[in-house]
Amino acid sequence: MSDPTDPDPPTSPLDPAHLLGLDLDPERLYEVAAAFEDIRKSIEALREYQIDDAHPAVVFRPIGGEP
Amino acid sequence: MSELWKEPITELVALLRTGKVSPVTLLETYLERIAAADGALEAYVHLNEGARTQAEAAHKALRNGDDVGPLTGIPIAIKDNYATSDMPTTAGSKVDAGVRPVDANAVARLRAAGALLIGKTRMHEFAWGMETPPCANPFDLTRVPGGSSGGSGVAVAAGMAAAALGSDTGGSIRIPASMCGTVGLKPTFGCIGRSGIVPHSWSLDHAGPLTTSVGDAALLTAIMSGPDAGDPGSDGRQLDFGALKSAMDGGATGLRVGLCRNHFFDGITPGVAAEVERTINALSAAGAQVTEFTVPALSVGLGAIFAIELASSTVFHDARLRRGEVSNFSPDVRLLVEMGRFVTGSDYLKAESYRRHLGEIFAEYFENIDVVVSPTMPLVAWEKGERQVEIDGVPESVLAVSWRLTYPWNLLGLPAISVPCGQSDGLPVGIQIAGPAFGEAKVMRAAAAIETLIGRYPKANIETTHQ
Repeated sequence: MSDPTDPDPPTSPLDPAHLLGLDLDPERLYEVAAAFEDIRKSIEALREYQIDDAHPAVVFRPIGGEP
Repeated sequence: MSELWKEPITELVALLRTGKVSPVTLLETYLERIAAADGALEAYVHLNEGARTQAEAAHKALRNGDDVGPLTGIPIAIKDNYATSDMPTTAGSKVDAGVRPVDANAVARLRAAGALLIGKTRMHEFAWGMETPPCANPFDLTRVPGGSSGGSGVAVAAGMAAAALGSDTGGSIRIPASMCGTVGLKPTFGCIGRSGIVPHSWSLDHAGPLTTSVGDAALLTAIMSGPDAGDPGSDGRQLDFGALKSAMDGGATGLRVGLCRNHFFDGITPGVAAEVERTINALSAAGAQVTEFTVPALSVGLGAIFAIELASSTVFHDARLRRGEVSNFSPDVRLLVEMGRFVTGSDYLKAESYRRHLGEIFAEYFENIDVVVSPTMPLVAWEKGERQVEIDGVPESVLAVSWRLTYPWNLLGLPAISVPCGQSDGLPVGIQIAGPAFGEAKVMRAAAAIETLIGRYPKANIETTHQ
């Protein structure tokens, strides 16, 4: 249990901002998150879209060596 | 010869080669237009002090009958995110973009072909946006020219350069082309090397020209294509202008035109829809075979391009974010750059899987059609400061509407061109033609057929605009 008198309490490991490494101050983070809401819905629709076995269009090629 | 600024490059080259016009006279023609109009239009952020010296050298070479490049003496404007050795590069930002003064690959190729660099054009900051403030649309100064290559669209439309370079991540060449009545071509991903262009989103960014005619777009794209050792996305193959020119002579007869009736024709303003349908009917009457189809998978494309574009831009600006420099960005761009941290790694890879999935669907359609035709944009140029538009009774953000028909071709990396096809409310309307990977010849054939049927859009009458 955290100490309520601690002026700098440890961040909960479950805090979403902590999990995502969001280092903006809370007021700015709120503004950005609010502006992101419509985009988040578009990305959510993509998450729910079923794609069967399509290799991501990102192909790694080792650097160097003979062509 | 008093209206040289209206002529396409293909005509200007003939005038220069035969000595009927000198490169110095041609340069001065554009500079006079800039002096008269750019105070109100604000298309340029920098004029090249060395351009006159370059024009004099071109004049001497032409007069001596030297073996010169195909663009010798042609003044071309460069979007301000292409690095140039003789002009500063800001990418439209007050924050230092950290660009070395070495010609970008595409600029070097133009220069080697003899082009004169007349100046750098205004762009929306770091290529994030569709308005390019404070640039004005040359057909109505109260309206925006589009973006992010807005200054390039204005420079060509107002006869302040023979052509201009743009870059296109979600529509940034085709959108200002559509809104300013010019031709704008985004060739296949990998066709024009991008080294020396300030990145926005590595796998979506394309280089390309904004021009007066379809032929000019083919010429400049062929010259700029080819290998670029500094761009891992470069395909390496060189387009042949002669082959493109032959294709452009093919006309509409037998051309297989596909209309993807969902997404690309949804939520279009009546004036734009009327002009585009009229053009499609003209193509059909001229002998094109028109096929209609639908691609339901397009319904989630917006999430895919946002996931890739936001995450990429945030990674590119990561050091600036950590140093707090983004507080000096304009508010709209700062918001987008900060937002990218909300995109997860799995979102990004899902978006990349989706690209392949969507690409396989369109590749199958392109086995039976040559090109896909649609409006370039659902609307014409909007008023500066306007934030919403109502289409079919549904209010939408103008920014969300503006790139809806262009971004799918960035996700797919396929060639797409915007060609003027008429006007609505006195403002230009563009029609978009896309083709299969490295199917530039098919795209240019359809574009040339439309240009022949409809005619080129007139240049902006800046004398009238000023009144």
